[in-house]
Amino acid sequence: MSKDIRSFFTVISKKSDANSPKAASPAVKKKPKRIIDSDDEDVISATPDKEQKKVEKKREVLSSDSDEDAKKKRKTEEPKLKPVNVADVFKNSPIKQSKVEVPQTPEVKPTKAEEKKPKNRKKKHDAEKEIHNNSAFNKTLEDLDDDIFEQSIHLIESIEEAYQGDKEKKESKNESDSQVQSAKKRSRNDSSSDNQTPKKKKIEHSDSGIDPGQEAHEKKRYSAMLYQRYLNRGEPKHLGMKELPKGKPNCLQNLCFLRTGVLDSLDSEEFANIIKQHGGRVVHAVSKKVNYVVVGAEPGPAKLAKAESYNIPNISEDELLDMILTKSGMEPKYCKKNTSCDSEDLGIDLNHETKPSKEKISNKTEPKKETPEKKSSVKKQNGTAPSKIEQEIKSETLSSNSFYSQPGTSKVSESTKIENKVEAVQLSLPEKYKPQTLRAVIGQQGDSSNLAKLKHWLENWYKNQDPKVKKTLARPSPWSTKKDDGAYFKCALLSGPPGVGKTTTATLVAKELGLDIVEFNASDTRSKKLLHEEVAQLLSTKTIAGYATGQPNVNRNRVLLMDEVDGMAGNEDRGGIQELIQLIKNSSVPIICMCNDRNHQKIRSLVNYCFDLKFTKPKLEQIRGAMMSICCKENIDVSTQALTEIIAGTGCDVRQTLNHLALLGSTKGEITVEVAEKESKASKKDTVMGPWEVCRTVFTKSEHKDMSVADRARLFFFDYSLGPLFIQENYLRVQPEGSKKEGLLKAALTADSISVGDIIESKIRRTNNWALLESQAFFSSVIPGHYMSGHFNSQINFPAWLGKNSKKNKFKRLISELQSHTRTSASASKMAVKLDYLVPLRNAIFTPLIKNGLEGINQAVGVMKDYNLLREDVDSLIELCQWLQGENPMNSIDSKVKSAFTRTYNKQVTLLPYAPASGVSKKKAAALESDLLDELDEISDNEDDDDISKNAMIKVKKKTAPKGKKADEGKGTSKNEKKGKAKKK
Amino acid sequence: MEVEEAPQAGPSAEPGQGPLQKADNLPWIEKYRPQTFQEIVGNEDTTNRLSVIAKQGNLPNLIIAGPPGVGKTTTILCLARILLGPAFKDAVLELNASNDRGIDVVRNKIKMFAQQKVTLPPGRHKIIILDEVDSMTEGAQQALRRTMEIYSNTTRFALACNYSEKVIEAIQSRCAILRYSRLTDAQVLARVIQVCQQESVEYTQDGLEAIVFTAQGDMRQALNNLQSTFNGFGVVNSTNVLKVCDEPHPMLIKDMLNSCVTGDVRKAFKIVDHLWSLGYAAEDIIKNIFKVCKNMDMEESLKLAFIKQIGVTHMRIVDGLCSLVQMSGLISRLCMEAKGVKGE
Repeated sequence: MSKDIRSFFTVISKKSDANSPKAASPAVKKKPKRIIDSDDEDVISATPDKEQKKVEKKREVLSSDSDEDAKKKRKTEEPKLKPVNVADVFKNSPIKQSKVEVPQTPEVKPTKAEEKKPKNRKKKHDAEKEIHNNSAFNKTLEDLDDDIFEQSIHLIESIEEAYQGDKEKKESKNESDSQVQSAKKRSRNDSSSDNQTPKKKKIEHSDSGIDPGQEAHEKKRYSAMLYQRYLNRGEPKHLGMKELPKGKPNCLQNLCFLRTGVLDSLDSEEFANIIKQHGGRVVHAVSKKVNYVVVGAEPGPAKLAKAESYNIPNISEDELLDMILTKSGMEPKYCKKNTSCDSEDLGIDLNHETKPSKEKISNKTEPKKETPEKKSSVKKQNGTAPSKIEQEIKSETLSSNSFYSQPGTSKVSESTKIENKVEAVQLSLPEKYKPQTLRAVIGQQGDSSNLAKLKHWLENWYKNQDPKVKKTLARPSPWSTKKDDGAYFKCALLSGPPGVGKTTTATLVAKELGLDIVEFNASDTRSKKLLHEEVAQLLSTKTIAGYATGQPNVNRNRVLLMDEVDGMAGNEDRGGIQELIQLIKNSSVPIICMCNDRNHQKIRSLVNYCFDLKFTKPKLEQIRGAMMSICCKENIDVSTQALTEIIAGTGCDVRQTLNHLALLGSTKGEITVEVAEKESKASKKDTVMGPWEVCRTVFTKSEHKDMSVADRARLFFFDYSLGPLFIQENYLRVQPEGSKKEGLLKAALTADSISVGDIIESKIRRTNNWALLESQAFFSSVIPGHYMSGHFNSQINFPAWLGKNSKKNKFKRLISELQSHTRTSASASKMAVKLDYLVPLRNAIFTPLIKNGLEGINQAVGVMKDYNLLREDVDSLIELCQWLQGENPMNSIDSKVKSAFTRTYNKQVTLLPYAPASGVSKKKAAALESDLLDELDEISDNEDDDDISKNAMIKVKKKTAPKGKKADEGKGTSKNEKKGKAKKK
Repeated sequence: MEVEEAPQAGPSAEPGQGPLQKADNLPWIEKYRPQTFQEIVGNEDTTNRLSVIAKQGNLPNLIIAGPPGVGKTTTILCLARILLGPAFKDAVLELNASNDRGIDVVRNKIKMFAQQKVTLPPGRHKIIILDEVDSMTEGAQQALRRTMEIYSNTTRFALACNYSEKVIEAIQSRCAILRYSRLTDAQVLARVIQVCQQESVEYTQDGLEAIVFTAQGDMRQALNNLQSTFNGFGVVNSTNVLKVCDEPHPMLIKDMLNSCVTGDVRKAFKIVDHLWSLGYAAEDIIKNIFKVCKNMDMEESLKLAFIKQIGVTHMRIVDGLCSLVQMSGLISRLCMEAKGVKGE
């Protein structure tokens, strides 16, 4: 957890540095003295104790718009922002300032940093914080706060004294003193808010030299405190533990519900769902129309108060569930359990606590300032409404807006706003809102998530890879359903569509565990040689960043991140995958690989060595929540529905959604649903359809009914050589619409059209007249699709034509071989050989063998001799006579006879009238093994590569290779060549 | 594909009028290439949005997809020019299909450029323009992926392509995709008239119509045709335009098809005969018939039936039977199809 905070500061801090002047530029005019003061302080800083002080000072510094300081700070923080790449090996960048080993210490820094941060940074930080509303985190904060708090009070007082000459200052001092006290009191009880309070006060203090702003700040502080608490609020205690009632669909019709606080077992979405399911309505703000307020733990006091003023009854969650049951005529059953009472107590407790402070504030307010306060109280109300993310966000901006829009500081806010914009503009949205903590990764929460698995794997890597432990681990079978933690593997493979957070997850997990990241991605050359040299070198070196930053532990462990392994392509990366596998086998560090398509041929060999983690797209709702908060931070006005459209359009790709929002957000004004719909259509990713999808789309009515004729013609062009074959293969598997009788007619028409398409195709190929291709598109694809429009009855098959065609070519070759062999004795054409010679020849050879066994061998060999046949020709004879339907004569021959026959033939020294072919088949067996290996190698490389090994010339050059291997290769390639030919035909 | 005049065109270059004196020998498509967003014709939504971005900075990575001649490259250049102003020269790397863009170039040249430090005002980034990105190999696109992310603090990408499906999904995921549609005839016409006035071209109404029609929403083609007509004949009227563009007038063919739909063989034949007498080759005529028929607004099954007949005739013509008889045969068969008469 500690890590999270730190890491999210790294990014934000940059922004906030520039923002900081804004917070306090009013102070500049009045207190130039402070700048000097603080600068001095800055220089000194050493001991932790002093550092604490310095931090406090720094706030002042920031507020005094000192450029130098800001710069300095930026300098120190910038390195952290750098993307992780290979360079990081040399400098320990991600966690420069902190020690990972001691869990407590890192907390100090974040807190300090937090305190440093001026309020407008807080906005962001708050939002981030909502992510880790974790009790451990709170606790550490609490511990820290007590210390810091006391110091801060001293500091404040000392600073206060500096301003004594100023009348306005005096007032503010009193104010702040009282604030301190009250805040201190509060801090004892409310741990979450107090780390906020001193800061808040400070800022207010510096801001509000002017009297009128005063109570607005008070207000602000209060709302911020509430909001802070809201952020730190826990999840429902019994989330998902209650069985939800299934009432009649409309039993809650015309009822309107408002939720406040954390319910016992329902989170906001479930709550909304259950009410919507039963016909009710969920709102997020108190109004007269609300029928019931569902109160959970830590309810928003303002909401309750308002609800009370409208006389809206408060009910608990159990009462709500019972209401559903009773209204649909069932026995209520939830109230008895009443598990929520303790949490309810808590809510009341908090209520008591916060109320007085509120009164205090309102006492102080002057009538003049009533309006802004009211406004903010409404806002605050929203802010405390715990219902939907949407509202969280609203409150977030509102509360932050309230910072800007103080009448006293309006000028400031204007100027700072501009500055703010300028800074924020530096980062693209996807980078800016890249998750900084593990919890912020969308769709990767929970113990069974990939993130958790990866973390677990990485944590235990060194343990598992210990030779002793390693022995006990067995390779999990790929079919076992047992949950596997990947302990056996040295490498993890993250696969999934783009934009789901694979790289982010890997980086964050590595950071969290304090591992240095060595990253190679597709933008690096990753050939066999380079991988071998560079990676080995990199992994054996040590980073000196640790020395530079004075960290005690320099020997940090590393993790090798191979991003985009499917991007290892082309000649440049030749043999990369093979080398990677070797690397994995011998690796002494964990390796994480990432790819999009885990079934890709290139990856397939890698998968065997990897702990396989498949990432799936997060759910739309998950993305929407996060996007809503971002929209709000970026002031992008977008409705939930419009956002839904956009996300759906991108196919639940978080990154692209952000990109799109960045684009849409540039225009002012709300993004309406219509616009969003249009945009979402535009944002749809186009991918090349495979022939299977094309075929399905062509015939399935539901899929092509919206397409124009021209669009359907385009389907054909996705793969115009394979597409028509698919359609021809599968058109009869379609159940067309209409009656059966018509179906036959339709099939006939389709067949007719396909045949014409085929004619056209052959014409195109023969005459190279590609102008006809468009006609073919219609005949081969559009018209069949038009006739046979319906749905598929069975699976789409791969065109059998391709297999048959290659078989045909093979037979052709065999016959021509036979013909040439028999030429001297039988002057027959190929056709004649096929029709007249094949069967008699076969019979002449095999009948004696079958009938006479061993005695018939001589006769059979005699026939072969007469016709100058080779032993291989006998096999091809059998193969060519398959059409005879009869049993394979080879089967009815005794194996003894068979081998004797072969031996006899081989013994005879026959003088052939032709040079026997290079004896491919003889070598086949020998070559098979190496061949397979070669093939693997070649497959893993890009197919587009002009394969060097295929080139006969290069084979000669490889003289340095061991002899046996060379020969094997030669055989292998010659076979490959043949294969290639066969395919081409 | 296009010759860029980017370097000499800062934001200071007066759009529209400026080029007159210096650019007599420039093709009009370059001479009148829009320099600002206001001048870009069509796809207003998108250009408006981009113009806002151009002012604010922080350009997201973009893919602009659309048919040729709708202003994809122009938009990107405008964007870059307005965003970067005088720094255009240093902060823009433009690569199109004429450049070598293999994996090694992506890994070296593009990555190097992304790593370079260029002093720019806040909110501005270096821009890498990859024109015709759909012609990049998959490997090269893969190599681009992480570069786009890692250097996004300093560098943004603007990609243009005709077919976005040829851009790998991972790249699409890293970009906001903008789709440009064909320009409407009115949009093309407006611009063509504007150019005519600036170039003081003598034109007739039907001449411009013909230009717009032959352009089919492609501004580049419209301007090219206009300039060719003007250079060749001086006067832009429909006959001259069609002499330049030299294709059977689609309007005539549409008429012909319409009369086929109503079953009026005589009228249809008259048109075909007219086209034939103009000296068009049978193949040109049949190609145009096919094109017009494909995009015509008519009942679908009839359209397919027509296309079937046209396809068969096309095949015959390719076989060498390019005579008027084939054309008239086609017409009669079309009429029979329309009337529902069983042939043969």
